[in-house]
Amino acid sequence: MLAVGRCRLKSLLGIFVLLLLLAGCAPVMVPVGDSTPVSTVPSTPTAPSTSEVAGDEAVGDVIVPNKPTQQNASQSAVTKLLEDAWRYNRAGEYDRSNVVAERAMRINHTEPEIYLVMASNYVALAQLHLAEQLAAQGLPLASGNYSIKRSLQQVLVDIRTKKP
Amino acid sequence: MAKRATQKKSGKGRAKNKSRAKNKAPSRWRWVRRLFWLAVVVGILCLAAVDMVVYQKFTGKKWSLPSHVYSRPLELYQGLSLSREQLQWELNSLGYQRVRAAKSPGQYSVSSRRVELFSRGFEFWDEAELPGLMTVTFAGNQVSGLANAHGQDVPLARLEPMIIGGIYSAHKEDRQLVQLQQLPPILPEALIAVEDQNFYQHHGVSFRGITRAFIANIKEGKLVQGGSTLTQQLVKNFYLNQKRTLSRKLLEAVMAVLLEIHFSKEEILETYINEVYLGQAGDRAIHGFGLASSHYFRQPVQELELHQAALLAGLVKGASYYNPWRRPERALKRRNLVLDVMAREGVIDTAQAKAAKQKPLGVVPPRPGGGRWQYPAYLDLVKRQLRESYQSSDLQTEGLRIFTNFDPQIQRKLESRVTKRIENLESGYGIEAGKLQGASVIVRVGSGEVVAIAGGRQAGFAGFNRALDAKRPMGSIIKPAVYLTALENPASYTLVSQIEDTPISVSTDSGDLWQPRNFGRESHGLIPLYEGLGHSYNQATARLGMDVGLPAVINTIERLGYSKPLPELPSLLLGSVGMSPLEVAELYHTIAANGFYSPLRAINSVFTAENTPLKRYPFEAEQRFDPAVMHLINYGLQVVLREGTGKSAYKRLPESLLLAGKTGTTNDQRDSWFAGFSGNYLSVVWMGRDDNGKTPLTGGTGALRLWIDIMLELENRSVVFHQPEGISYHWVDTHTGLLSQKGCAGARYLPFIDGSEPVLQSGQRVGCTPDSIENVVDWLKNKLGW
Repeated sequence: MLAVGRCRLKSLLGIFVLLLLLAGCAPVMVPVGDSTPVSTVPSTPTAPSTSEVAGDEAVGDVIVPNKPTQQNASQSAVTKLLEDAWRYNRAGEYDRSNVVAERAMRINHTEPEIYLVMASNYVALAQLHLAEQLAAQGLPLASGNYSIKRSLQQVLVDIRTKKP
Repeated sequence: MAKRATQKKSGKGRAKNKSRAKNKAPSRWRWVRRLFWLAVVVGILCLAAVDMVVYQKFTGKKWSLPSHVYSRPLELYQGLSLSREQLQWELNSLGYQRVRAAKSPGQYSVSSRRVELFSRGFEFWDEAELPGLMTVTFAGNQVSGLANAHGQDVPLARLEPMIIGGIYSAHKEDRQLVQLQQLPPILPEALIAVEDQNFYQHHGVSFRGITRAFIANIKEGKLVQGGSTLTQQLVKNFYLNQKRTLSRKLLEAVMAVLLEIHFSKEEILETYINEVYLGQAGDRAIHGFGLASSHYFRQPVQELELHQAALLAGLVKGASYYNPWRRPERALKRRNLVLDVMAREGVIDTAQAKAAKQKPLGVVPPRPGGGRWQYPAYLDLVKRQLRESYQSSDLQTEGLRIFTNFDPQIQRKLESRVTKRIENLESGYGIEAGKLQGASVIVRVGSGEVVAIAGGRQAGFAGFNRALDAKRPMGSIIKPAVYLTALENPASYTLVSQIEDTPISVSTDSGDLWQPRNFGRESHGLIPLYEGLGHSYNQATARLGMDVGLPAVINTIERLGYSKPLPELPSLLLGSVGMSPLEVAELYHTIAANGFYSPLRAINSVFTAENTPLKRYPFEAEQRFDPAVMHLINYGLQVVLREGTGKSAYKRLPESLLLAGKTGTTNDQRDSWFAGFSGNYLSVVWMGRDDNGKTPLTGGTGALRLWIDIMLELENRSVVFHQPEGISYHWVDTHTGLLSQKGCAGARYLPFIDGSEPVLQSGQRVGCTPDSIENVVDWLKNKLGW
């Protein structure tokens, strides 16, 4: 009885090890997040190939959607710039606010709040078409940030209500 | 009687003659007097006219000021991809001086992991960046910390932008205006000491100076000293020509006196300081101490030290003769003479003079190419975009300050990579040296800012700008427009729709037959749509394009951002239309920005010469495509790089980095293209020959390699490939287009616009039973969170 139990345990352990190995060999999933600095690699001339047509091996699920940007090292700079942009927005200095938001965009253009503050500025400047476009551009980037997403949706609703 | 009468007559005549003679003398004098007064009146009128000229030119706009073009300011923040060496390069380019401990603006010090710098401050559009001490800490090639003078962490700081070029009128006179109070006092003092010691005493002309010069010249037996005052020199340079005639000298003296009557010594000195010729940079004439300071020392004039001020003051006598780059010994002698004169005149003491004389000339190396601006290809784009809003004459004369999105760090990497890769390809493929050309444009994804441009293989060459002007057939890089047109109709096309890759023949309006063939001369039968794009099959694309219709494809190209008329020809589908790399970049940016078109911008803002904000070029966006459709085309362009014609990219780029792009090759391999993007940079590369000759290169073996070189130099993030609303993923059999399951043969996980995914018909079953072990592995992975 005991020997049978041991044998079963061994075979279960074997299956588990096999499963682990299989899991290790599974296709590489693309990591989520986007702050992947690329190290400089000296260019090495590769053998000239005149074939425009490449092989056709399957890649399965290598190409999969990624998720909105996680917090990264430059976030504090973006946060500071967004604070300034909102400050100028509240003070009615919309152009200045847009300039600061564009600085944030240069650092991380996937931050949806940038589009929110700019859309708000253009609403205030009565440039509703541009405001609408910016809010629409920010919306897909805000999928992980419900508060910003709601605000962008609200801006869109407001604009569409105001539009003739 | 008759005699008497005659005598009487003659007596009368004599009397008449006498009175005539008496009358003649006063009339002569009268004429002399008249002439005199006429001369006086004419003289006064001339003087008034001269006075008017002197006054009006001096009070009006003194110079036609060229516009100056600036780079982007370097933003420093934690997490920025920037090495210590790169920051040092930036600081050196801005003329910062490396010292043991930075104590004043324009200085920096370096330790193993840190750079301490004293920024200069700058007036930006949004706010002024004040000068201040800051410490930048590095971890590898990244900024890991930024602290102010008190050691407190700060989120970000900006350095001032660097001048990268100018826009000049025909005479190519360049200057940067400075005010007297901006100058270090030692500079005007040095100038006065060496050029006109009685400047504050005389009234425009110095008889003492003339006498002294006369004696000195007699003693030497040749012309060694001039007697002109600073005011006379200014008059000569500002109002008159360089002729040395007596009348011109007299006029110069008169004008100098008039100038002194109207204007203060300070006004005259300030004008002199901005007017004087101090050197040459290629065809550009360097005028004024403000520009001379950045020309020779790459420093603002405020930061000049005694030995530098003495050199500039010494150059007034002959900027070419004492050129510190070409004649350093002569320049050093002249500088030391100025220092001696300053000590003799009591401007400085002998110890100061001695210390300054110990210092080297301190001039920075001249710019390559005889001092010409280094980035002509980018300047070319700036000028073209400016012409849309400004007249050439305004740009050449109003002294505008133009701030651009140009990134000099990226530009120098780009230039170096373009040159190396082209040379490498020439030697690797046996192409005649010097025949292969290339061009590239790099754009910041999202903002649409053009950050760098290579107009040819030779960096800094101001010739034909291929990035803007080489309208070369696009080849296969146009194909995304064809597939995008199809995918916009999800009822008819999905990524897995079966399309036919077989020979096609289309009759054109001219009666000719258009019969495109695949690059490899093979047909592939029925293939899924994404494969047609990924492997760039011509026959499949031509069929698809004809199916969706040429007008629809043209409409897509226009919505992507091309505004010129396009011919409605079938060959358009395979890229017979010619576009420049910049135009291609505009189309691909719309794809990279998930269907939002933004005009590509080189210019950020324009300020007046007085630093008043004039015009901004703000970010603009317009949604041209649905994000769901863009997700599909983005998928297809990732296939190109993962398994298609661009798959060699991942031999050198990290697997984890999501990239998208497309190769392009034209007939007889005359053009090699690659257009592709990461999450934050888009780059388009073209290679070919200027004579349109054949090359052995395809898009994959030529342009793509350079594109990879470029991407390796940039801090890249993955393509923004979020799953938008209205998109769902399904496992599909790529051979049949029917639903499948993970683990089944030929199954692929593909995105579909909701409602376009394949559905199970009644009684139909999914293609295979997936491997049960695969399910167990999935279950384990889920449980363990792998």
